[in-house]
Amino acid sequence: MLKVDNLCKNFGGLKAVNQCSFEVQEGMIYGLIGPNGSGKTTTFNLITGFLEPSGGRVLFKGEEITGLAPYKIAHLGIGRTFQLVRLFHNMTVMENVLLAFKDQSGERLFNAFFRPRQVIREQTGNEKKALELLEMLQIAPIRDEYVGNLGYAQQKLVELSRILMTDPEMILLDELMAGISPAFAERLLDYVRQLRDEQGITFLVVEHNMHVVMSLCEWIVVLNYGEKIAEGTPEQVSSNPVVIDAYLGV
Amino acid sequence: MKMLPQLIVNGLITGGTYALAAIGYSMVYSVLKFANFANGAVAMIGAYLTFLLVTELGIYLPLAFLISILATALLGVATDKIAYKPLRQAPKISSLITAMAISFVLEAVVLLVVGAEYRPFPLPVAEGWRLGSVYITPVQTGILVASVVCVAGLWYILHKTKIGRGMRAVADNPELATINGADTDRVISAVFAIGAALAAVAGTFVGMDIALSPTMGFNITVKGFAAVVLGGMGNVTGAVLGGLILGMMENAGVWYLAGGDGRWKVTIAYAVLMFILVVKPAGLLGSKEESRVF
Amino acid sequence: MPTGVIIHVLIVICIYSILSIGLNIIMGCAALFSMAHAALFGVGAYASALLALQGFPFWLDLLAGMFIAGLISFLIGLPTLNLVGDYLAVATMGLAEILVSIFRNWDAVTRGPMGLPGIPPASLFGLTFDSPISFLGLSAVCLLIIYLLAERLAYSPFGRVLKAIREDEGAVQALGKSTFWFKMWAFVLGGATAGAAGSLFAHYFGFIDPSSFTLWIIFFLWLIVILGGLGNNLGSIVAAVCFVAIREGLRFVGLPGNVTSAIQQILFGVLLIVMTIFAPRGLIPERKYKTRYKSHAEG
Repeated sequence: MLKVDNLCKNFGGLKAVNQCSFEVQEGMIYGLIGPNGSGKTTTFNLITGFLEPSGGRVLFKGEEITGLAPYKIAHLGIGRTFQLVRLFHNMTVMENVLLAFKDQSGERLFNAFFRPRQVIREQTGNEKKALELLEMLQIAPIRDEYVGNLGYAQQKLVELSRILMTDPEMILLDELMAGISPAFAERLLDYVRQLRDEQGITFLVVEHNMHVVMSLCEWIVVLNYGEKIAEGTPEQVSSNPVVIDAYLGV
Repeated sequence: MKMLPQLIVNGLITGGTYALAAIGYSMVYSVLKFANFANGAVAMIGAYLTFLLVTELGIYLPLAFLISILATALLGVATDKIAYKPLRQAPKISSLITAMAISFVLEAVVLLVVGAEYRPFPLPVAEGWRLGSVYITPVQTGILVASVVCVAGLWYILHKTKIGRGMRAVADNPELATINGADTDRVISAVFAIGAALAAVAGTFVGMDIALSPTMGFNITVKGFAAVVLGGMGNVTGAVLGGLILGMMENAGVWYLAGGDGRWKVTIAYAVLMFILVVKPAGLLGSKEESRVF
Repeated sequence: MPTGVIIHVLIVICIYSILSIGLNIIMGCAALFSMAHAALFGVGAYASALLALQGFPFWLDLLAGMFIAGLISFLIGLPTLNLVGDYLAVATMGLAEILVSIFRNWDAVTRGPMGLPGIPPASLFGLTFDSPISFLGLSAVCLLIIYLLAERLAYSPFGRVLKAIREDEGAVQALGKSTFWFKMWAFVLGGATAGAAGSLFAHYFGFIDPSSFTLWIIFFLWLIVILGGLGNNLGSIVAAVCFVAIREGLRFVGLPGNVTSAIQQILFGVLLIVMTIFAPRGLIPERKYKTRYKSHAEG
């Protein structure tokens, strides 16, 4: 599905990501872990086009996407969340979700001016789809609230539903569980599993919480100082002495 | 081609003042990632302060210059506290707007207090020197020397002092900097103080070289920014280099392209700017990441 | 106050409202920082005036003014709109300066500081708008059309993307949308709107000179757009009414011209800073989006 090949990124003299290679299989939940500053978020940014690699390649479904603009990569079917939620705070939940639909005719200037009826018809259809999703995530009643007025947990759900509405084949979750209660985290984990099982979406997850990683991910890639030091099943990784060393800082 | 050496020297002198103004923008940009449009108006205030201290109070010029530099540095810090600090978390467009508002207010204050007329700086008339085909006045020599001294002093502050290291740390890693709030505030104040002090020097020199007028601030803003973009945003060496190149190109350009018609100077400065934006938007010494959208 | 003055003020209000709506698309919706708006206003005015003086009809001047202002916006946007906002700010500042220096110095065409006199009144469908009251009608109709179009734009999916760009451009890109062209269209449309205002301005006064298009105007327009509420077109019109009335009113106070303008500048500057810090959404906030579709689960 996704292949990262010898990826490198230098900031000045610092090698944030160094010759990192791994492959993500379709329909699986992958974890990307490592101590602070080990290059996880940088790797995400390189894959999604928010940073340009200094070297190496990224392939998605066999096609090279290295260094494409973020919107092009998103359009190809890779959705992402950000470490801190990046929602449109002065817009309502529904507006946030509606923004995610691809290729809306009303986003073309000509249609926006001269085909208002068609635009509204399409919009109502999108609202219907969005509402179904919001109902599934149990946030339909707050659809007309400004996102800025919501709690952190609800914002996470809005971010998740927004990314789902882009119809992605693969989702990169950056610290989705950070800053939320354990009970709510369980709920989110269930959603992620459900999405994988029902819609076949592939996940690549950056996560700090080891408990979450071990219970959610089926395959784990471990980074340290920008280099891949291990990969394997949760059991393999958690018993790997190199990984334990990296985490204990020995 | 006979004129070329003279044009280059004149360009270096003008460029020196641009470089001083550009450093102020560049430093603020490297720390706060926003273009402080008010720096030109601050430079204009510095110029008028020196001018008024000399003409109205009869203070000895070097002393007047020093007082003006200190007062302007304070003004720089004050503009930050009043107009930018409350907007650190707001969209960047807000600070750009308040910066422009500050410069309009400062300009209007000068209009009210001093008036709109051009004021020549009262300087003792002195013979210049002739080196081959190049003629240079004492004022110009002073500008050249002082520009070099200022840049050297700045280099010393940035690399050898604690506050200077703090500035570079904040510039390199703003996220880390937000964690130590108090330190960051001090660093930002220092950046504004130094930027404004250099602006006062630049403004006074421009006043000496040409004349004072309330609109000179805008001119300094324009040139300072062209220099910064030319050299690379947020890069002090780039700002100096950009200032010097811009100064020389302007002088040579006006002479060779516009038949010496000084009215087109600004246009040439901008033509250079646009060319850089199209060809190498990150500037001569800038990095690509600084200039991209996200 | 005599009726003549009131009609004059109303016409100026219409022109400034059109200008503000244009700037609102650029700055209010898309959060693009443009300093060239006043100069583009000038481009519309000069293009229209020069064509009208050659005997071309009003509708053609108007369209030409809009087209040229839009084209210049397009050209300036091309290298700058995919860079961080400061570059656009610097570039538009430069553009403004270059355009004004062309108005001022290209004597052969613009007659420099002496300006262009004798611009014929507008006429359309056989009607000639040579009296103030008839011109007021024309500008009001133009304002209405532009207002309705801008409203349609602001509340369309297109406008929604613009507002999202205002909030977080990177996040919009992560949703698979090329933000560049959205920003570009907003920028071009805003510029063309300024061109239309310029065309009306030229035909109303019959005389234009460079002093009407200086940076001071853009400052005044920011104040209108921010006070009226970013992204709110009606707010822009309301604010334009207030500020133009204040500005024109101050002329009758009887202070010397340069003192009045300096005081005005300080007053408006302080107000702008206070507004930006304490009421960044303006006095009249944007309309809130309401979901139209009703789900069956809730009846």
